[in-house]
Amino acid sequence: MVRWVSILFFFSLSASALEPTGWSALYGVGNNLSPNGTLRVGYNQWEFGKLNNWAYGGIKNFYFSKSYYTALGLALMPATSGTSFGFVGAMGANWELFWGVCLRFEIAANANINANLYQQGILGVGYDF
Amino acid sequence: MVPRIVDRDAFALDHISMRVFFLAVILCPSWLYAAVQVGTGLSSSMSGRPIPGLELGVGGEAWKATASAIGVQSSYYYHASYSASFFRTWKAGEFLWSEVQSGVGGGLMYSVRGFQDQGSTTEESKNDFALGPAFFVQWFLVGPVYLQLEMIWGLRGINELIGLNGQDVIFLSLGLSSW
Repeated sequence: MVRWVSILFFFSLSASALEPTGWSALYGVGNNLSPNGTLRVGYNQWEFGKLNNWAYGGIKNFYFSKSYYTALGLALMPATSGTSFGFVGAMGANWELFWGVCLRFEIAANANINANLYQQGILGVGYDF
Repeated sequence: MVPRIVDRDAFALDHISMRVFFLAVILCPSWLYAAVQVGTGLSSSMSGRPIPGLELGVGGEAWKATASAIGVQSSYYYHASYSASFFRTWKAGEFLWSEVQSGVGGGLMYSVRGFQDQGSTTEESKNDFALGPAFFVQWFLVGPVYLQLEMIWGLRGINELIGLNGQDVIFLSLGLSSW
């Protein structure tokens, strides 16, 4: 796994990506490289779906350069105390590798109204249609 | 007649300070555009307990520094956490028809907690320190009223980094800003 991450990182060094327009998709691993960390469908700046292991909802990415962004979203957050409504903030990188395939890295802050606050890391592969 | 004493070093220092000040006014007007924010909210450093904290921010057109303090104390234990961050900021855009400001930078956190068991004469204490990249997203709900989510991603060892884990310091705050 580490070798594959290293190879993808090497490819991304000279890569650049534009702010996504149109439809996109993203799959990624979460904390401890757990599978199904995120699964999203995107349209322009917005993405919807499983944002991370703690949040299901929509998030809007604000790009401050070609490949880097911060994000704000609203989500439902399942927890041991029950599902509640909350906010997701994130900072990430989206490097285009080749033919619309992107490497994505994101750290996210989840906060719900029951005062549960969690961090999540995402490492994924995206595709711009 | 009392001789007049002039502290030449102090005079020279004041003179230089004034020059630097006026140079800054001329060359860096955006740096001098200061605004403040005051907010209260919840922090992950309190381990899930809903204890309100205070956050203050000051900044200019393209930068912001924030500091937060949160704590609790009882007869048996205490827990306090402090953080400070510095960000490069920009107007990110709109989120559901309201303006969003955002920033990326770095921050640090210091936390201390202590506990004294009933009947015990000794206190057990522990402290934590975190340093790493940070970001915030600030959503202006109505006028100067904002909701802000700020996070410091405290860096640990290489294994934690590969596992996408960091020591999270998240602060969700509601407040007023003069930006």
